[in-house]
Amino acid sequence: MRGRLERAARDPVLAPYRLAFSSALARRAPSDRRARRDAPSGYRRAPDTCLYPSIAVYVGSGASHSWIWFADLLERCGLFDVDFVDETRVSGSGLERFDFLLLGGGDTYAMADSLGGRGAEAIDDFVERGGLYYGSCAGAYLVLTGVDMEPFAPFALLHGNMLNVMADPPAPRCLEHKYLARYGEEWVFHPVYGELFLEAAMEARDFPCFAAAEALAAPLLGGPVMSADDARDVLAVFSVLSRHAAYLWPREQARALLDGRAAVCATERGEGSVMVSGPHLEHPLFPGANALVAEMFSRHCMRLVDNGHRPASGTTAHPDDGRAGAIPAKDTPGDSGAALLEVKRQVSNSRIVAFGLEKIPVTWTIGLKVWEPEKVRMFLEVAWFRLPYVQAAATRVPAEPAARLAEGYSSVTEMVKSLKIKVESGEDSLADAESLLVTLKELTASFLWLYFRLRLEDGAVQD
Amino acid sequence: MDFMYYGDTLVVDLETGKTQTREFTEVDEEGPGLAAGLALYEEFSDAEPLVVGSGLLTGTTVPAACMGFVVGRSPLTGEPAVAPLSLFAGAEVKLSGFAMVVIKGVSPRPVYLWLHDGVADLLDASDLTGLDTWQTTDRIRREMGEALVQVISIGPAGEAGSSLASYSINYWGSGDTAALGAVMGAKKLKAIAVRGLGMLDADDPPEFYRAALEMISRSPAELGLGRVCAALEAGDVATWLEPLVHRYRSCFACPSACSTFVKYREPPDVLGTDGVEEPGMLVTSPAAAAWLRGGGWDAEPACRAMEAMARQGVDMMRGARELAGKPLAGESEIIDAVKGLTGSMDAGWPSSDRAYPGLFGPWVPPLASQEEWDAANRLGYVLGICPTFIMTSGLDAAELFALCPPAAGVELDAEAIAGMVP
Amino acid sequence: MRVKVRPMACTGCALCELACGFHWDEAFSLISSSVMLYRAEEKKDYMGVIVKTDEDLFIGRPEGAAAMKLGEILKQGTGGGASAKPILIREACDLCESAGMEPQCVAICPHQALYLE
Repeated sequence: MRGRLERAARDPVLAPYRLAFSSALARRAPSDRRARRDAPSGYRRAPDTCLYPSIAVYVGSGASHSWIWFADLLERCGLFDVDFVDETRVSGSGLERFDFLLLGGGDTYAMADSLGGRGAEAIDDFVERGGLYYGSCAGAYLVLTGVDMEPFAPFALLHGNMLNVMADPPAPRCLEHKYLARYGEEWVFHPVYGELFLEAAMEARDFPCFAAAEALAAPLLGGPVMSADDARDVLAVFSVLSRHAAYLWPREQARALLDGRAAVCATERGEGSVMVSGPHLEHPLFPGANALVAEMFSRHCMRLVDNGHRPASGTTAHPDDGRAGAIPAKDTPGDSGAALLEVKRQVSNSRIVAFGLEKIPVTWTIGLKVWEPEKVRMFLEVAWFRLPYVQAAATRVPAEPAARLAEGYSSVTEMVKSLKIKVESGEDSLADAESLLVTLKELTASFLWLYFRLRLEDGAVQD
Repeated sequence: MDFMYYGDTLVVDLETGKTQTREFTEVDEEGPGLAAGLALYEEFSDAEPLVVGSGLLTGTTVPAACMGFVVGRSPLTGEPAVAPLSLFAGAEVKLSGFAMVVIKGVSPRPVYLWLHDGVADLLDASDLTGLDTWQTTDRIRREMGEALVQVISIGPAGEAGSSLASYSINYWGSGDTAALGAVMGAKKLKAIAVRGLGMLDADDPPEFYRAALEMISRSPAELGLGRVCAALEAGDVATWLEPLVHRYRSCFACPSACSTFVKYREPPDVLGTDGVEEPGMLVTSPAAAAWLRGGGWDAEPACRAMEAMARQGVDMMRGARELAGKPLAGESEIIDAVKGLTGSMDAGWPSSDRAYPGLFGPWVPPLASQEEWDAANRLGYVLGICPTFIMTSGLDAAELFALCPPAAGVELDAEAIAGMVP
Repeated sequence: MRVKVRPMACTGCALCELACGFHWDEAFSLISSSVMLYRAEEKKDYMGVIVKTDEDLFIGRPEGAAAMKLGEILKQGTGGGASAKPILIREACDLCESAGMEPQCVAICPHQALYLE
């Protein structure tokens, strides 16, 4: 996978966005940047600088692993002012300093439950005041007005509906364990799992990504097939089927359902914007789809500047809320070389065990989400492939967060070994898996927060 | 060199327990594979080093590109000697994140070295002391939580400093005929465990892959000991083993499956895994099998003897030589006999005048003349190709040299290799 | 057309994994292929080969070879019994179409343990 990921990362389609955003970063006033460095979790924007957005990625309850792909996408776009928020921060007015809020795949019910009415209100307020909400997969289901059963009703941001729902879906051809999710008296079903092609709707005909290719490939992995109340809200529709997908419905029936239906929608709401996609446009192996998201990011930034919008300034401290792996905002930099070497040691140890776990026929259903063993390694590799950069910057890494990461990954090693023993012996491993995956999610977010902070300080764009 | 190797040279000081890395410059200054290994051996020779490494092409799709090596001073000859790392161990070393590993000094307490993705840990081996190599491998794999960890370990023979001591690769005989297992024992180094999830790049990947695939398609793809035993003039070992044969195994990337898995604790045609835990063993030493057969042993007790030698960490070739002519039948008497091996230094092959204290010695099997043996081993250990495969497969050395430019942007030939490795 | 396995012809050389991984990454490794050699029970000499497609797995075990849908495999229960060792998420086999080649695992296997049908 590494080679394909690296080739996708080098795809020139994102280069213009990377250039534009890195220019925006470079133009930020030095005093502005120093202020950010001193209080990395809150800063004031100089009114005359081009907007370099501050981005929140949701990693709270219900978020699975695909938020990692947001991190990949943001990195490729040269966007490093990134933080990772859970439901507590979303609901507790923690969105004030952000320009974008990204919600990816996972368990939509768990997301809605945990965010609750306060979270829905906070998100609505965030958009109204000028924020961009992008929801892919579960994050899309969450905010469609037509998805109006509790607990989803408060999250109505985009006027549209999901079409992949029926009372009595036919039996699937394959992937039975991924086919259905209960929705009241009905079932949300997934006719296709994997790569599909999207064509531009009228509103997106001038998007550079569609100039480069008539159709974009993007993976549909349980996301909605949509309709929009206002056709002008449709950016892209499903068009051609791909051979590189699993067809849970027979191809012709899947085609009939999908052809011409909304895959990506976007609308303005108050001062802000809402974009939703059924497919994971942020998936790192689909640079064309990434470019569609980057285009929306860019347009939203320009809109904010053109409107003279002043994003909320804030010096909200990064809360050290005691979550495992949470990194305190203020720390004295020190040489964290030894701690980071321990991180490398433990990520390696646990990655090796996780690789062995992948050969065992087990999945874990946590809430409504089916987790496979490969997800463990996916989380670990987020840190693994970025560790060299962080290690090289050891003198700038605060001692305490580095030590906490080392401790966290050390416990992950023991957890994954213990999990593997249980799985191999046929014992019930669900609780262990859930605990491991929650820990990994939090640790990965903490690691990425540190990584993005370093990248932001460097103002560097990795080509 | 930017291709075919990744990672630094690791230097492990057993006395202090510290490890350090440095840039792998030897590959450019001295040459790849064994050339670099020998240079490191010389550099650290005052500290009785063991150098672990792999060849230029190890870990790729070149036929028989499985070869790693251990260099150390053989207690048998007092001179540097090279012993093989085959099966999957050589490739794992290549993928471990270290280009070469130097292990120097003596540890104050039993340790094992755990190499994983560019991380080196010296871990306490006090609860592994006294265990045989099978028990050691099981324990380490359980500790690391992964059955694919490659374990190069010594058994009681190595711990006792026996002149017969030979390191095992996981559960199987390694072909260490230079008693480097005793060197490990003297260092209180119980094992070297390796696992890497790395990736090797080539300079011209499509051309390299194409050429390697072409070589694979023309390589002999035989099963069993027959070809090697025929080259050894060792008689019909394959037929002798036949009633016990379960399957044939290849080393990494090798088209010829010359290792034979035999079962004697359950019927060999048992295919599933619900049977006994330790149903048999992998015959990795055609020479040992040939010696025992020639020495009047029946196949099953001979395999039990080879198993016992692998567990004890005993050089199978010399062990089989000593056991030949004294055939046994019962398992316990076989184990006692193996434990009682004295380590006779008689020539290991029919002709005593083939014995010599060379880098690839201490014996030259009748596969080849001394010159051919040395040439094949030089080539094999520099490039990472099994020397036995080179000698018995008709592989053209020129084809291997032609792979070096697309592999790593280097030009090599026989003369260059002879200059790199004396 | 798909890649199938003759499990008892396999000698565990891992050339198929290397070739497939090379197809995806243009580099040599054993971590990213669509075809996987199962070799984790070394003392028992138990080996198998698994080929992943978008919709199922072709599992070549010594006891027999067959395509199995993922849901079917999971219904057999959790646990590490030797009977089924699927790989649930890796790149699905595309018969090397994305590289413009014939299936490389089939081409490289010295013992024809992998074949197209």
